[in-house]
Amino acid sequence: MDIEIFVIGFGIFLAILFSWSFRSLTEEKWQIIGAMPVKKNPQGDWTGINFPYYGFFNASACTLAAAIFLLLLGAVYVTLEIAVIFFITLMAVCIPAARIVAYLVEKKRYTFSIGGASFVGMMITPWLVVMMTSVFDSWANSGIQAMTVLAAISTFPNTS
Amino acid sequence: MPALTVVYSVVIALLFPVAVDSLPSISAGLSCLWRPLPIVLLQLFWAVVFVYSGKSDVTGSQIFFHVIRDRI
Repeated sequence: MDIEIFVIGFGIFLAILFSWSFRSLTEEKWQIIGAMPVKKNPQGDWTGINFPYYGFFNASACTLAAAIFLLLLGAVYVTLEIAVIFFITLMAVCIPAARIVAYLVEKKRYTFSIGGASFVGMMITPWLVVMMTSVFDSWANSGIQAMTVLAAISTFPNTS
Repeated sequence: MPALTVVYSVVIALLFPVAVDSLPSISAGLSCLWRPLPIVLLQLFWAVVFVYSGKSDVTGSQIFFHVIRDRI
């Protein structure tokens, strides 16, 4: 019964969150979270770099997913060191892939495809596990398996 | 891409069957996570993703600063 209550409660929370966010996050006040001055102009004003809310929400979603990833691997007794090394290796591929896939698919140079990064992550994860368990002896008996890692990584954002 | 991922996941599940030695333990996962190293790493990860994906390349800004003299 606890599981049903959790799933229903989480579903209601997400429904309320999405209902608010789909209506509100398109408003102008929810576009830029901050601007950082970088260069003073002769007129006395400054040229700045903008940081949109997109980055804040994306970073928060990815960090929450990373925490769940480490938690789930810990739950099947994979050591933290192995989980962290695996995660850093995977992110070293997936974070640049967000921009590369967007460029290849959409032909846009200044955009990201989180769905593209997620796709690349899902594709390489099993083979990364195979490679790392065959290269490092200590990994072979660590309990890390392709399907468990794939299940844990599936919590990552997959919207584009 | 998502449709291809679903098919690919099924193929991977057939290629790499899971050997279950013991049941997962959420408390073991929480104790693995609730330590300084993963918490600091997650904070660093947040900062890297925020700057990398959050720095806008398609908008610019002009910023003006001024002093509110009657509050000095």
